[in-house]
Amino acid sequence: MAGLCAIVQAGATAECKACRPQGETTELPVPDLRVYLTDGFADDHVVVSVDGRTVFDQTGITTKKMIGLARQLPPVPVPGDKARVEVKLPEKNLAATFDVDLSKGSHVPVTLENGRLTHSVLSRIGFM
Amino acid sequence: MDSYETVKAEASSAAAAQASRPLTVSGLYQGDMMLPQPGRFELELRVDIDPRNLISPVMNRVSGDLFQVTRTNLPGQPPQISRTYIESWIVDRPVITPSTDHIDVTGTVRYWLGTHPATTVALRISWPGSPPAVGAEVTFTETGGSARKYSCRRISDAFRNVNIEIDVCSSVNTLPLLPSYDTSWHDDRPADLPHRVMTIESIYEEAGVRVTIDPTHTVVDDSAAQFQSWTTAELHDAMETHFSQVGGTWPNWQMWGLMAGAFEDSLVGGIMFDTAAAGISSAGSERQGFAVFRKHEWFNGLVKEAPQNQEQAQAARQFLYTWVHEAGHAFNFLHAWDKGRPDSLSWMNYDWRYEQRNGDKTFWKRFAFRFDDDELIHLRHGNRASVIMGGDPWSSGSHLEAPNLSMSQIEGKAALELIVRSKGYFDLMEPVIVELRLRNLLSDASVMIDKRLQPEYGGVAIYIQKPDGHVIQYDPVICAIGGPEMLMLAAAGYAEPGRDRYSREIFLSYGSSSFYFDQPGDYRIRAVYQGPGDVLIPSEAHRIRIGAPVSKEIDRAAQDYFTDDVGLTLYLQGSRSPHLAKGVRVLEGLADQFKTTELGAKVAMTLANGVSQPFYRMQDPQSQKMVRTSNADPDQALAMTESALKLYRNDTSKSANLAYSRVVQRRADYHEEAGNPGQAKQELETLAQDLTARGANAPAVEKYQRRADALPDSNGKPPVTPQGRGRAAAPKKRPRAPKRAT
Repeated sequence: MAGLCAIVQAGATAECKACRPQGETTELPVPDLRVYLTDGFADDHVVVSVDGRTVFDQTGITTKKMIGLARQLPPVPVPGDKARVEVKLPEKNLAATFDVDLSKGSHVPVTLENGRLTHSVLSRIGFM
Repeated sequence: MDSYETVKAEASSAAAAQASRPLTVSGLYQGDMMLPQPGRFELELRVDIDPRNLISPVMNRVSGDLFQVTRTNLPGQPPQISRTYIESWIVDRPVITPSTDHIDVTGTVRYWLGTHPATTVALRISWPGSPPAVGAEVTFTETGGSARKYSCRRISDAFRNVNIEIDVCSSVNTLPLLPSYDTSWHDDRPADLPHRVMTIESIYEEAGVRVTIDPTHTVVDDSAAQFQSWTTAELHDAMETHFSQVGGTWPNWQMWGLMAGAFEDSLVGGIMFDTAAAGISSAGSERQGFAVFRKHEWFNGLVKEAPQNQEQAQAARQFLYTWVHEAGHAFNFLHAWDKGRPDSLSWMNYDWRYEQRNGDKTFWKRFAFRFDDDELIHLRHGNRASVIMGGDPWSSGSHLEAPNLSMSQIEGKAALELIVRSKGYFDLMEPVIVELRLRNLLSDASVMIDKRLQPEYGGVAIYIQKPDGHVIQYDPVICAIGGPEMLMLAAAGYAEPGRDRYSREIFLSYGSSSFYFDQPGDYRIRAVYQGPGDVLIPSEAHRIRIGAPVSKEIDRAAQDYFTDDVGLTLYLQGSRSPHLAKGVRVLEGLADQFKTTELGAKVAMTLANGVSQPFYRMQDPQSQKMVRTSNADPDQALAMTESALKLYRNDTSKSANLAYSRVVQRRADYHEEAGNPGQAKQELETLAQDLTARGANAPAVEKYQRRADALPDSNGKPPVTPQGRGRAAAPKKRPRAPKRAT
């Protein structure tokens, strides 16, 4: 197995267990969760929490209609395959909680549509 | 012939007509007005009622663009033809009645702009001759019965034509530069998808637009150290530098595309950057350019040969999709979800957005590589301004309420040019005065114009686009009727500088709809001149900015300023009517408070004009007699305009020349009325010297000098004659007599 390495798709740095010297503690790769605030935001105050920890809290969030994206959040390292994401718009009294299965992908676009926050989980994402 | 022979002949003729029926009558037609004014107007007609080819969907619409044609006849030369776009229309539910040798199409016309009487249109499409020449006789009938007829011939099976220039950055100058995708390459596709090889051109051809891509591709050197990604400002700058059409006339059916490396946001695979929505202020012309970012991870699997696996096929598919999508934005398409159609299987959606709502991998299994029906209707039949590049701003609908002619645009060689100009910035409350200038563009023929450029006479229409995008027509308070005041503009090639043009200042701040510039922000002003011979000359849009109040003091003053009393006083150039006394008091306060600014100067000039003339009114309603209630007071007028004179004398910018000239001319009148012609002479001579130093046109300067020369000086010395100055009295000799244009 020496020399065989697996590369984690979500972009986190990873090391091959088999390549480590014997006796060292191995660490599982920590994928990055990437949340995107996409359509429907207009000068909004948005708070995003991952597994109970606030990772984003900003005002003035507005969708750029040209590409359909308001803000890409910084990547959030998440141990394991699951993460609970909560998105709140305090001034609009809107909130939604998603359970994200990172084995299906690590890109989570969040859309505000008809007064509801919806999401999906993607293995790849792009804007144009 | 007996009846049998007649029937046989008719049947034979019908069969022949049926046999020669073209495969399609849909496409673009073009033709001239036949009645009531033959050749006066031209119609571009788009008929969309049967399949143009096996793949192109039918939208069942008829639409058209109307142009006014101007022919300038020059002796011994072919006529110079220009056409001015007037308006667009559409028939949403045409009724089609086919016959053996023709097709009748009728329907109700819906105009995109302005107000029109209820109008129906009837087309008779026929195809006489062998090979068949498809043509359409078009009749518009308005309520009341008046009719306009056109005779058009089919010139294309596409509805529109667009040219695209595509350039490439050196860092990504590898094949494939342009996308090509075989529908069989990727397994995820609709089962009934027609097999074909798709390119940008073929996709838009199916959509009804003939796209021609310039075969020359400039390579943009992006190899500078530390240059890693593009910003929208840099993309726009690159377009201004490399797009050969950017300095031409806009709107235009021209587009620029750039294959670039990476965008500042690495997630963006393509962008239509030429819009205020992308953060670019493009001086009025949007939707001219877009970029595709070759280094986006979507295109990692792109290969120059046919793909060998699904990942490569996906990259090729995405490459085509991105190019078509971004060009679609230049046609003024929003994303599908922004149009309330998040489930649209269209080039303008995102696969992952569709799949968020409809399930994983569903988009590509259902997408037929086409625009949706509403997009096709826009592309083929939309209002010209909302489709053409450089027309309406992206995603705006401001044109939909714009008045008639506000979007008119000239094509071809016109004999005249109309420009609107002024300084670019006005303080809030500062009277907005613009210059309209007509110039003869013919190098060897003079042109007659009606020099009554004031909107009051109806020969010039002025349109104002407000900061919110709304377009309105300036409506003067007064409507004037009178005979034309004709002026010959000399040929540009032979005239002394300035004789080929005529200018007039127009006050626009106030009209019958109250104040037009009462909000800070950007405005655009266009004018359309209608001259002798029904000539229609629109100007380009002129941009001005109205400033925000710079102090609480000005903000408070604005409340008293933006009233009808003040507006009317300004419009009437001063008044001593007691009914406007309140407005006059407000303006007097402003003139004093802001005497060192243009606001104060212009207001003072208005008030001075009022006091410089006697005022008559009916004081006694019983007697109905006009009585002089105020005498002319030129001394007061001079005192009021002292500060304005100082201001403009010290302002050496070219944009101040007209205002400076105006104040001196008026003060010269006041001096003469006050019995001080010598003072008038002195100020006029100073004006002439200053204008000469500022590079003003010689004829304009001479006009003031001549007036000065005609006045005695302060010591009573008689006026100077031209001979006394030693100047030649005869005009300059011209090489040959100029021809007159008709």
